[in-house]
Amino acid sequence: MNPDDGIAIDARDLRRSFGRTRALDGLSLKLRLGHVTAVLGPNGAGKTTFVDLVLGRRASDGGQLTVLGHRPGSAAARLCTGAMLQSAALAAELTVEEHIALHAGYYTNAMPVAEAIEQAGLEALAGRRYGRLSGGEQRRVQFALAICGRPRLLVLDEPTVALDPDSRRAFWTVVRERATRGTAVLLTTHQLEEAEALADRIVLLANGRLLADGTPGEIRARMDARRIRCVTALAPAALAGLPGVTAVESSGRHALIRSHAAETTLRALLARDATVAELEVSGASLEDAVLDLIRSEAA
Amino acid sequence: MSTLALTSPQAARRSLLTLLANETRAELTKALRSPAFVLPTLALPLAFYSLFGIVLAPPGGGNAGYLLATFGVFAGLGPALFGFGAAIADERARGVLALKQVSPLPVGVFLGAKLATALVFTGTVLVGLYALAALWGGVALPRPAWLLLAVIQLLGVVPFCLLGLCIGLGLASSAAMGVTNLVFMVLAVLGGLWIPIMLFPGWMQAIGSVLPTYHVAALALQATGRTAGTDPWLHVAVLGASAAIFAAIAWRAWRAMPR
Repeated sequence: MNPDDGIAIDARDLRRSFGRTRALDGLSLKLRLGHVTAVLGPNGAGKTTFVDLVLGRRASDGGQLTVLGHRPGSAAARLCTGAMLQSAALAAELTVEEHIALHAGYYTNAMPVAEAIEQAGLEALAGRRYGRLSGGEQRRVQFALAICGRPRLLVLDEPTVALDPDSRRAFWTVVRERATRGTAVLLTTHQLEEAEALADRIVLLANGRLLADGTPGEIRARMDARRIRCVTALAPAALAGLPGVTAVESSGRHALIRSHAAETTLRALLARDATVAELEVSGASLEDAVLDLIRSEAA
Repeated sequence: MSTLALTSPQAARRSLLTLLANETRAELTKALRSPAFVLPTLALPLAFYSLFGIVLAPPGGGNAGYLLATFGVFAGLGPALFGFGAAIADERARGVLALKQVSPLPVGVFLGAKLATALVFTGTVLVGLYALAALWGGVALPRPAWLLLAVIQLLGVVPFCLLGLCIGLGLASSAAMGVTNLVFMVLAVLGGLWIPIMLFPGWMQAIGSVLPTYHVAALALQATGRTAGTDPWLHVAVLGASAAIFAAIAWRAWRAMPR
């Protein structure tokens, strides 16, 4: 495959099982250069397995996968890939600068060490030993290692977990900039906010399959659901007939109503039942939205 | 593609050498900045040799010469076993190995740097050991014998490194440190590096004679003019075979590892 056709990752019908668990169950996905793609999904959705396959850390059971036209994990693929793994405790004895210089030396097209230090916001810490950095600072060093080789594919596996809000925003800016320069970014995250701030495209996985795929706006429209919890005299069938309601469940005395237009639903609910009590409205979590999507798939 | 700018084989070779040099320098820097690890590794063989080979040795008993051969093997055992066994298990647990594996660093360079580091430490101790032996131990050897001894004691670390690699790749890091220590003691004592193996009861000699340390030590003793052991090629063959077995086990562990 020609790596210059704008496709960074080409996955077709990718399958991988662990024992009886199908971590990836026929996933097909193309990631484009210059785009940030966020892969979301609940635990066990197949995000980490997909990342491991892309990086060549595991082999697939079936299907095809190429990384910039190369076999995943091959020398050629690794030469144009930068990665920030979920956990990597680098050697405590080396300084920030030594770590970055060493890693940059692995690549043939690396940026100057000073540039990587600046991009990761580590200027003041360049001479400090890794073991004396805070968790967030260590994460930034790992980010510098990921970008120092000017990779065409940047894999970020839950990159901002240990970062404070300021560092997180600075980090987003740099990642966006790399994408503008033509790098394909594969980002896994649990945070919807991060995906919205960074991604051109959100891919939702569940049970190893592609569940939804679209721009953050498109996904948000599908996820913008709210949960109403209350004690009401109305029957479930009547609740389901209220405007905006997508699902009704009961939990003990309480009714659980999911709505994509909570205000309208509430107005109608209160108008029809004067006895409504213990009313709670909460935003549906990503987990909820994913569950909703799974349910709508199954139906 | 510009990212694969390995234009000539010479350039590729040179860049591999540069990678090896950089990686080795980083390994040495790490080690030198953790003196709690380095000092015992370097000082222990020298201290023991001074004690048993020189200070406590009966004059004219030949202890200095005998123990020069065996402690030179002991000098390489620590850096090899700990640098490959405990250290790699630890890097694996901390996710550093995974990061190196997905980076463009060739695995051969990663392992080569560890070997080079073990050789640098072994070489450093050997220089001190040879100086002690020649200056205070009264050991006099022809120059080619010194050279042959050094070659044997340096190349002898290779099977120990491979054994360490089996431990480092095969065991959890919590277990690896203890197992490395145990293997270190067994190989040193039963291999006859501290006390000559012929002073042991028969059953201990039987165990000792299958250990790689015994065979490296036998070659080293022969290099210093002693007729220990038997045909040198037998020792070389045993060492080659054990290195091959350790390499095969390490390869299996590498393949089985979720990288």
